[in-house]
Amino acid sequence: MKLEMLSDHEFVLNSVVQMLEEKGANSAEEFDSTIDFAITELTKIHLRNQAQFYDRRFQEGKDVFERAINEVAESIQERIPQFKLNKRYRMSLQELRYPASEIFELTSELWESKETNRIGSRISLPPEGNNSYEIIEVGLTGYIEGLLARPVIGSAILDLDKLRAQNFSIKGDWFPFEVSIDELIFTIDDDGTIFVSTENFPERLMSEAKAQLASLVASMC
Amino acid sequence: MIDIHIHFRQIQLNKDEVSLATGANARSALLPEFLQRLAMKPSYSAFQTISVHESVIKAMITKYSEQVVYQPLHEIRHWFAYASGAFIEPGYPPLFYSRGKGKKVSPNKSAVAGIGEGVAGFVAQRLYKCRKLARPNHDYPDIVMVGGGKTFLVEAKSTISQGGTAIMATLEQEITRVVTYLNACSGLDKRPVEGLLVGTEIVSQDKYDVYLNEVNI
Repeated sequence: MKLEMLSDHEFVLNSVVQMLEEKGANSAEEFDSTIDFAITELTKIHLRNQAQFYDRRFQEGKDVFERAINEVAESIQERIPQFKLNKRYRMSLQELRYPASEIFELTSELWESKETNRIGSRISLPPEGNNSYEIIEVGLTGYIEGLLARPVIGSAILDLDKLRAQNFSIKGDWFPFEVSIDELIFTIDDDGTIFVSTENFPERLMSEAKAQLASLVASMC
Repeated sequence: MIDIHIHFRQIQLNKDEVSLATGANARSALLPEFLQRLAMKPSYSAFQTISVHESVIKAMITKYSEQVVYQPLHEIRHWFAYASGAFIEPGYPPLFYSRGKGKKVSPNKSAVAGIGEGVAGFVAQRLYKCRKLARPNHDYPDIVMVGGGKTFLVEAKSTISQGGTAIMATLEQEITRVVTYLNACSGLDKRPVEGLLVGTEIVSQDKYDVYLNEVNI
């Protein structure tokens, strides 16, 4: 069984577009609670993405917030040109003002932490087939609590038959899949991420977890 | 490993029962009648047991918990160690500071809530093959998921087992709220909407009883 795993951004954007198309001609005017939740989620994803790639042009939290809303509207308009973010959806987005301020306050801290290696780093993996991944060390340097492999593009392929043929032990008939390799447990989720907990791992075991994670990524497609 | 024992109940409500639930949500005098009608529906039946590694639940809590909760599974183990009386033994905190007059020692509420949300998301993914569309902030329901052309509104409740049926009573009360919101969304949305009310009773550090209510109107 081969499964395509979309990033949260791609999945939510695709879902919004599908639901708007299903609603037909009046989609721009009518309110739909599921579309409303999805647009808010998409804006949250944009807020976090912007913060991860800190833009010094932002002077205030509301700049980040406005830009995220505009980006979301534009990404939907790329697929449905007549789409306009109506007043009701904009009202729900106002709930994100305070989280946006918090994200804005933390972006400069994140930038400084990255420059001083205060937090775990990101490691790019060589592309395998259509899959292109990076590994993120989750936690403070010296206290890495987990490793997260994440597709760097919007999607990745999971070929379960191929993994089983290579004697990977896989539990579960749907996401999240549990893969065990040498007593390490890897969680493969529907957004293409793979997580392994590394709490209190000594250096040697941490290196082994990284190597096994890279090997799992390479064997997936 | 954590064993998740799932008990399942399907609740199909007709127009009258939906009106009663909506009314009961605003006016408590209507609640007993609604609960009486609910009692006539099929009850929970043992459905499935899923054994899952802690690490998977940890990933699900990170994904679905509304609060930033640090090491909730450790917290729960710590609580069960306390509840087992082990803290009187050497090697544990000495207990002389934790309990004041009229103050009850209780498990970490954020950890319990985080586990409930993580387990609800996990169960919905595994059983319905659906995917998270949104995790609303300070809003209702806890998770919005989609799959098979449907929207799933997932609400999670959780408790630490204290030898009673507290979680089931909480779920019964919550159904009116789920139905009220389901009714509103059905009127607004193009796609069919289904409610999943998931109650998790943490029986021990490695055993959870899950009461899954699939609500359709």
